[in-house]
Amino acid sequence: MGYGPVIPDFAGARITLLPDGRFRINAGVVDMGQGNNPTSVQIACSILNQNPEQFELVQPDTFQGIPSCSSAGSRTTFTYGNALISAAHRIRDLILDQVVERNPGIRKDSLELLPGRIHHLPDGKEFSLGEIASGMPEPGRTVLERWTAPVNRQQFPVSDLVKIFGFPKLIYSFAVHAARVEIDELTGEVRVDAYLSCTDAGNILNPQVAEQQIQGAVAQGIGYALYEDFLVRDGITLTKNLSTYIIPASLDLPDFTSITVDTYEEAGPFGLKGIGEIGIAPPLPCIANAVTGATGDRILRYPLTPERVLGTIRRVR
Amino acid sequence: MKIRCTINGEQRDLSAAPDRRVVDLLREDLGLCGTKESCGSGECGSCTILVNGESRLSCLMIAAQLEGAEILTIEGFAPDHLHPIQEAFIRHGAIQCGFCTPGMVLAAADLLSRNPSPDRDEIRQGLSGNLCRCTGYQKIVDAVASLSGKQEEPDE
Repeated sequence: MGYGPVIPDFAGARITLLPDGRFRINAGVVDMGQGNNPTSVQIACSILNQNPEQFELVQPDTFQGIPSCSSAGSRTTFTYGNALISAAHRIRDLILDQVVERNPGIRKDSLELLPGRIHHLPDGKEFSLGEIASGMPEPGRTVLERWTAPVNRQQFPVSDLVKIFGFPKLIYSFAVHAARVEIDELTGEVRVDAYLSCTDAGNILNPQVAEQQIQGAVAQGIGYALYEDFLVRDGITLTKNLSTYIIPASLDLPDFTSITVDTYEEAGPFGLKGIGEIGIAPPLPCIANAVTGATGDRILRYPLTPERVLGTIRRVR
Repeated sequence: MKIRCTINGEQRDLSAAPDRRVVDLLREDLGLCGTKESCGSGECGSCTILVNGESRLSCLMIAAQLEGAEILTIEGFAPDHLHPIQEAFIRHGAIQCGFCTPGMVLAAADLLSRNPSPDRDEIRQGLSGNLCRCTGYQKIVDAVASLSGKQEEPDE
């Protein structure tokens, strides 16, 4: 995961304490549905001890977004999350310092952040976040923290003709997948009727989002394995629509079983590694292995269309 | 031509070319952009609406077919509150990018109105005309399955 040694992999996270005592997070990396934004809110909730409703999350744009690179390389939550953790700790400090400054005699380490307020442990006195925010000028209520991912500087002994881009990585997610396929010997059609994925993406912060990502990735991976054939001739796309470029529909897929190995990556935010792409790589080789096992020969072109599978079945016989 | 129909419970007198695609009429003329268009050729189900209670693809319908019809788009599906189907989608994480969601929700409504207790295979069958690129369908099936066998609240 990550961009590797060539391109800097950095992110910037901004948190603002709003005048009404809520927080605004400026997301650095776009969420197009994969769920990094809810996970960001979860991270901030955890550090600032707030409820999700107390956060307003702004998607990045070219006006107020902070350059944080792309939603790519399974690095989104890893890199942005680390920047956000620093930002959350810093704004927490700012808020508590503000309370101390305005209330002589109160010690910072006797203060605790609670949802919407700050609690003074020795005497139970409380200060609302809105009250604290109202006394702070806008620049003083905003923090911006940047984080750059470490890279692997190891050199590969390769020919000068080979240009290595993005490798070696420093941290890897791992997966093991298993597929049970059924092949129609008359038509060559392959159906996946059971599918198991086992993923090590570090600590899983949001099990539902993680499972969504894996299930969606496996579905697309099965598409690449069996149906999706992007055809181009003379620069013109031949498979321009969903009747020629076939993607899996609900009847083409089984219910997947997806389990995670909850490891803990020290460099990751709350121990996570990237889960973005680890689910999409294994289905093709996994299904190809299953089809090889069933037919007795390996097909070296994909997708494993009925024509190719039937040809192999006939050749082996 | 003049078309009289009911859209989201409201009687409307529309003026449109008879061959205007219903998806354009809804999105462009009436501003009901909850109905999505993806393929525009009846392959993906994004533009699903309910016509007289049954799911139809609004990209394959023309304005003239709406005469006298009762049309429900996602905007009118549960105007003041979330419908149990929408709640189930949220609870089960059945949404990622959201582009297929309006069509999926209406296709699920059509399925559940025809078969209030579908099993998982029947749910997959019922939603097979609606493509989703993000979820792998499983959580959508989970969401609909959670409503299977439960009496749906009447709409009005």
